[in-house]
Amino acid sequence: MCGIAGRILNQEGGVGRDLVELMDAQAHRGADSTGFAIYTKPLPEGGKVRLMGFDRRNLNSDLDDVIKILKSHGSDLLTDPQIDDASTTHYSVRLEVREPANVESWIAEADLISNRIEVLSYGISLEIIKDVGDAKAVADKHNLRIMQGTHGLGHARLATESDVSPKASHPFWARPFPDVAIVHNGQITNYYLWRDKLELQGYRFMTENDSELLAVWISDQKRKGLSLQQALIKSVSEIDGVFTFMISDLNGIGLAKDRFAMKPLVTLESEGELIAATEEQAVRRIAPDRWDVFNYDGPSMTQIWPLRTIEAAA
Amino acid sequence: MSEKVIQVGHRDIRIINQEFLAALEAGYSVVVTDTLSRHNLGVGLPQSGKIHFDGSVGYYCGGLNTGTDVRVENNAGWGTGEAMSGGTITVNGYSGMSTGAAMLGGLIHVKGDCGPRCGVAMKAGDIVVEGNLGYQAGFMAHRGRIIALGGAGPSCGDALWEAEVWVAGDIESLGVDAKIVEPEAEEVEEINALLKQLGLEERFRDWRKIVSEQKLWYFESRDANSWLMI
Amino acid sequence: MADDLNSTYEYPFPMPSEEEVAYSDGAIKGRTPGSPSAYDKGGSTRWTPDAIAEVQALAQLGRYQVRGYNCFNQRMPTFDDLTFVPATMTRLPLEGYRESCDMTTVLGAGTGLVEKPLELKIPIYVASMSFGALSASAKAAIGYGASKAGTMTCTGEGGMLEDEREASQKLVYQLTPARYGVDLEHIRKADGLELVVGQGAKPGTGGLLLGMKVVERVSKMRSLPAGVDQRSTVRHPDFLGADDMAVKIEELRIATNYKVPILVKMGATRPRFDVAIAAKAGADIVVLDGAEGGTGASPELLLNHTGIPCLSAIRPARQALEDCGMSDKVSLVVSGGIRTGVDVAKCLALGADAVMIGNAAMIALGCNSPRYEEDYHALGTSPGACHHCHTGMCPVGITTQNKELEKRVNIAAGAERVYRFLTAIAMEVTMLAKACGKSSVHNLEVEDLRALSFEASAFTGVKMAGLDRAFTW
Repeated sequence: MCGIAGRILNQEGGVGRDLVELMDAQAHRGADSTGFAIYTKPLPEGGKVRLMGFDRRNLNSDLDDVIKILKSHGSDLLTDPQIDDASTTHYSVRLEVREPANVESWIAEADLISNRIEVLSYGISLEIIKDVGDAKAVADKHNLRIMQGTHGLGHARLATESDVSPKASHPFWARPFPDVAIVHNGQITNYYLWRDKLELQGYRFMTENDSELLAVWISDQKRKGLSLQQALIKSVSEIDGVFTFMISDLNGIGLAKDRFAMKPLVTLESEGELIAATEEQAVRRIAPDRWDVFNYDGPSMTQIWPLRTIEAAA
Repeated sequence: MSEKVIQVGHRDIRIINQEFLAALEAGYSVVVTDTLSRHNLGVGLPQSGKIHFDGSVGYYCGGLNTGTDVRVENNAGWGTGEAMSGGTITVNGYSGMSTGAAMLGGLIHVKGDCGPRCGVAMKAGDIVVEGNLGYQAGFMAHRGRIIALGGAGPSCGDALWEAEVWVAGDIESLGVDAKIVEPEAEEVEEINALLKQLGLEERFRDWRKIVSEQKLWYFESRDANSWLMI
Repeated sequence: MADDLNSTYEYPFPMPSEEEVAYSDGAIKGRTPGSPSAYDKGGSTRWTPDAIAEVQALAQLGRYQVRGYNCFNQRMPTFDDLTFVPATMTRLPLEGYRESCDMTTVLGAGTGLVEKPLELKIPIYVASMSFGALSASAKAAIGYGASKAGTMTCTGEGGMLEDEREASQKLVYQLTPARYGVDLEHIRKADGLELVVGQGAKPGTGGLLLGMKVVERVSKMRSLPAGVDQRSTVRHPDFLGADDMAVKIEELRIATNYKVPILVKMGATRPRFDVAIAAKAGADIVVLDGAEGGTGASPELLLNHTGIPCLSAIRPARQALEDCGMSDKVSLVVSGGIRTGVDVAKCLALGADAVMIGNAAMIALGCNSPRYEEDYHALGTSPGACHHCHTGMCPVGITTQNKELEKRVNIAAGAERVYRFLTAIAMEVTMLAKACGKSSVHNLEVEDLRALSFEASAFTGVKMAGLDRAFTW
């Protein structure tokens, strides 16, 4: 029950502004919460951590614990933490850190305190920002419009079977894989079956949100050796219900759609750029005069849009 | 007929629709600019008049139309002409999911392709598609015709009642309870006449007419007594 | 046997024969000695006569059984598990016969978007029952009765019947997924538009009308071949989720120029989430139909084994509205197995703004009345037990399309009975409200109730009688 968006630029630019526009145009599809996954310029060394804490009164002790865990995994802060100064109970933090020796074991330990402060994303480029409210509110609060980068995802959520809370917002990071994020529009009807199986394998779920399952499920498939393309194709037959989801990594954005041709995605591609959104009217915000869009509205579709900047560099 | 230009932009959709009605009732032919693919443009249009959307429109354009001639210059979103009872809607570009859903009359003419479930639950009228039909064309359509000069996607003519799906090109697969029948010469004449009326090229087309096999129309028994509870 | 229970004792008289031991106490000849006579009634907890009959029916038919009426699942709780605690020392009651109690019920005014909210004289109206499921005469009689009572009716799935539009001063027009006959003309004739997502009797499935009832007039209104088994689509043709529904609701508002409220009707399954979603999608009124809700025809398994009872759905629905800040904006209507004013009052106390009755209105009209008994018997049933709406052979002419049977509905007398029933149950509601010290029936609250069973308390959060706190674990 959502609106989603994806954007790829053919060179680094105002991807934050574009995603805010795409999501603002779809605010009527859900304004419980809005979130963004933005691929910003990688740091010379190390990675970026985005966090959400749930009780501002404990901010200092929460952060101390986060740093303690980072240090015990061979990491440390490279710069001072950036913390939002809003009056909400929950708070968000951005860290620049030296890469942990083993991201997987670091995040496993960091997740032990996720009831107090949760890691939203980790990567050399990926930054996930999410909050309650519509696109404008979240953009204003987190200065999204000025964020520069190559590509990213957006999501507006109308809560279905899980609660309205900042943490249940999309996008979801495909922990523990750095720089992988997911947004989803739809409802998964074999959610608990998959969740139980994945939990038995040791995966930890941060929310009751069925979209988080997709992030974990794709991670699991990748760990089993499937390529992203293979995982996307497999998801169409393994995940039941209706869905359109987009997954992003350093190399670009992938898409998979359910077998019933239900949830839409409208795209406009040209010269290595991509504009993708649930509704065509969102595309209009960025390309008011281009109508040669392509509708991903058939059954069982998958697609990968590679990032041209990466291709050129390779 | 003099023309009135109405700009959409980011203005209130309710007011825009009221302006459409006022202009059409005053006898103007309406040109709509800056449409930005917005939803609910031209809902519940009157029994006569002309309105031209110079751009793409969002969901339910021409929904509940009663007789206005609607033209969409570019693409249309979901449910174009849903529940319309009269008039014509012409979409130059792509027409999204459930074009002509539950329509009761009139004509929809799509020059590009159509999205999934075109003509779903339609009760009467015609949908002419110059391009291809998407998934499950005519899903549970009651009556009326869906005519595609191009091909059809998977599950074409799924669970039809008495509606007909005519396809000139390739059909990816038939839907449940659907079968292809040989059309009568008179029926083909009728279709050709309709296409001619729309200014479409007259030439031989290898029509496949898809109708219901009627196996899903009935439970096994026609005898009321078998429905009595034990 | 290892344990030695054999006796060496010898009677001072001859040993009786085996025959005498087995049967001289009155046991039935032919029965294996040692089987208790209680076994005559059968003893299996799983394989009751009903369970056996069901297997036999499935084996004979090769498909599930279809019937009408409502839920036969014996485990469904009832409102009888709640009782009112009227004003005593802590509160002061109002005079039941002399002082007045406001019953006016306004639905759909909260969003402030609607020009003509639904103003009803009583907090009760008649639920959606289609022409097709019901005869035209029955629809008309119910419409006139509701009009006289100052309340409204709802078209149901089969399109807007002229007879009903004429009879009902206020009429809610249903847009079900099948959209039978929905066009601008009819939409503008309605006093409210109801988008149907589901119904309590069979959530997750579409309408069902067997061929016997798809007669010419019905088939015309539904654009169907006469005589087919109409199994309607379950998903709306042009929107797929609450996100798209928001756009659809805007379309309907524009089509009616914001005159009438938009209702969203659903079966009770996950009300805590479903109701919040409908409210956020822009509904003026959410109609929540419990699993006990009736229907003209349904696979029996759905009637008995899907959905949650009305009793348990109201509080989470109200909570959902409160959680998203919509409690004052969106009206909540509930239905499903409501029999009398007592049930209505309990629904209001649990958090409903109004209550719909379906079967109760039909029964007031004459359903299951002890007339034409031979026709009931021909259907294999009897007055008071009939549930054969699906066959179209209704002995009293209510759920039929047979012209001869339909004549058995006396529209005028039926209308008057429906009117009297509606006013009687409204009176019952005010009686309880006044005893609880309320000058408006809408001031009934959860605190006015106590639960008589753990289950009812757990389902509703109503305090246990005596314990004075809700049963939780």
